[in-house]
Amino acid sequence: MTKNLTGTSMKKLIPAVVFLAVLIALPNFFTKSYYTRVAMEACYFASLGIAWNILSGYGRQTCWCAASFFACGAYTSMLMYLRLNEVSPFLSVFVGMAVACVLAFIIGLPCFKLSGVFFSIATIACATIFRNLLIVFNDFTGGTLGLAFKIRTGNNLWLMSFESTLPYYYIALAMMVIAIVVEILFVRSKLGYYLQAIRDDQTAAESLGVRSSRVKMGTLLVCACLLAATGTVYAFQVGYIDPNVVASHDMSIRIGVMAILGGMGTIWGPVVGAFIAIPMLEVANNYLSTVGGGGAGYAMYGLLIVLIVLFRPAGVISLWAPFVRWVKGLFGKKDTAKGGAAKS
Amino acid sequence: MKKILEIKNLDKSFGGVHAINDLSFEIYEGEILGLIGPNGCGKSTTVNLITGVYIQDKGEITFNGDTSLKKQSVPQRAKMGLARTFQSPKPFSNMTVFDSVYTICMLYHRRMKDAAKKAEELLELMNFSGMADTLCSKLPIEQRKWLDMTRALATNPKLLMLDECLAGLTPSEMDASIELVKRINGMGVTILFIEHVMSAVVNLCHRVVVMNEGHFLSQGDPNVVMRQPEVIKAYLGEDYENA
Repeated sequence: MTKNLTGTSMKKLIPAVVFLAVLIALPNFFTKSYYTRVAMEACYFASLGIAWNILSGYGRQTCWCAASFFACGAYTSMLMYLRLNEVSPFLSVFVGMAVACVLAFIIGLPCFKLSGVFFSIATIACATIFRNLLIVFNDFTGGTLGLAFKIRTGNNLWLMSFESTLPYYYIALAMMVIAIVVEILFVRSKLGYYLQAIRDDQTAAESLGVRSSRVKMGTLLVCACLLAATGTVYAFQVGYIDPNVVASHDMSIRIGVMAILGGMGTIWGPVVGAFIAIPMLEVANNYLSTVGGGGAGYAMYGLLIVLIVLFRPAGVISLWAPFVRWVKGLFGKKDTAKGGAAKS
Repeated sequence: MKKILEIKNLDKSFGGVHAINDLSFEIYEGEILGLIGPNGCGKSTTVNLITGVYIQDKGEITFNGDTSLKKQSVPQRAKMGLARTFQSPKPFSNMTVFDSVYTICMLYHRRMKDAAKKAEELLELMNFSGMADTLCSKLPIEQRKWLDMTRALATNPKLLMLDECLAGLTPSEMDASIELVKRINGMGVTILFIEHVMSAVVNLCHRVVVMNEGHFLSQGDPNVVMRQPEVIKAYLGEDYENA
């Protein structure tokens, strides 16, 4: 029975280790830095998708204001760098997380009194308010023009300034690994178990002593911290942020789509989703850039998501277990695995 | 005997429906009290008032000498020792049997290791040996009901309210469930037993309280109460008297 506590067996870790090894070696196979940038964006969106997945996947509290927390991290770090004599992102990331936590508390307090679709709508409203506040206080935030670094030259890890894409790629990869570790620790923590109990039956969980509001709030704080940390790293890589990108509904939806596409409530779902969706969008935009005034790429991307949600609602990750069975069948091994890909 | 729960002049209305009307009764420590009455008489509403799902309009509920129950939320009341099961079982469908119980044990044990040990003990006690890795959604109805009881036991309850835990079971499943209820009571847990299966009520309960249309109707020894004309007229029917 206690194997539930000791966790994933070494055998199950092999695909994950191989995947990470491939990602570490990946830039060596690319002839253009463009491909490294695509992989880097996939890493960012995997981290963001993981953060979203913690509350919305494991907890089924579908939240559409992830971009607000992402923007908190991006803006806080950028403002501290620009206004406070070049504060390092390694320091400002913690301030960004703290600001995101305050915002999470302000959003969570009224929104967690709601449930289901009403909760989701309330989070959309909160995200709209936050984006407009970033625009209205333009003296401080730069309004719709956003904030930008002056041209930074030379390589400086402390200030996260590099001349090539490669270091940024490895920082994004490290961020993704941190997000995965946080996700695994969360799922195995008391808070993670309580959240999954609430997801399955809130009335029953509360009747047994689970304080649902506190659990949801605690989870939102974890998500906000992860999103803000990724926001900081993203801002220092891109060098320019504005509310219509980092705090937009489009960004919130793209973050959620990674987990939905890959598989909600699974550890690897958002990673798989990001590494399918981001390259696919790039390919679609490249090959269909002249079709339909440039919108055909997005249309194809949207169509694929609709198809996956319709025909594979558990996400692409749910294909893993049948695939493993098929491979084992090829080699004549009898499959003794139980439980499918519920916790892949 | 010491009163573990005392209900005094309880009143609850939902709009124009007067669901509970001046209800009073008490439960003594260590007993199994049957709460019976026709459908819609307010039995489950009474449990919902005790556990804090609803707040009474009037009246007082005293648990273990504590009169401040009205201020406590549902989870707070669970932590005070008030546990319940539901008419329809509410398993944590995506969890395994072990995780389902382990999750609740964690609320009451600081160390996860202790919680795991307690969960294993409870599963053993409630006939779930060898089923730790089974998904709750795969369990048959009687085991879902037992799992609800097991989770409730994980809260270290002083009073356990079992809401129609025998409904929909076959005779052999009922016998097994009755044995489990006796086992739980034998551990010193007081039980409020809400049920329509009269043979089980007579077999298990030390006393019964009969409700009708939100009112208190009668209480006492099950064998005596079942023969009272007002109970036969309001709930059991003349067929029961002739049987």
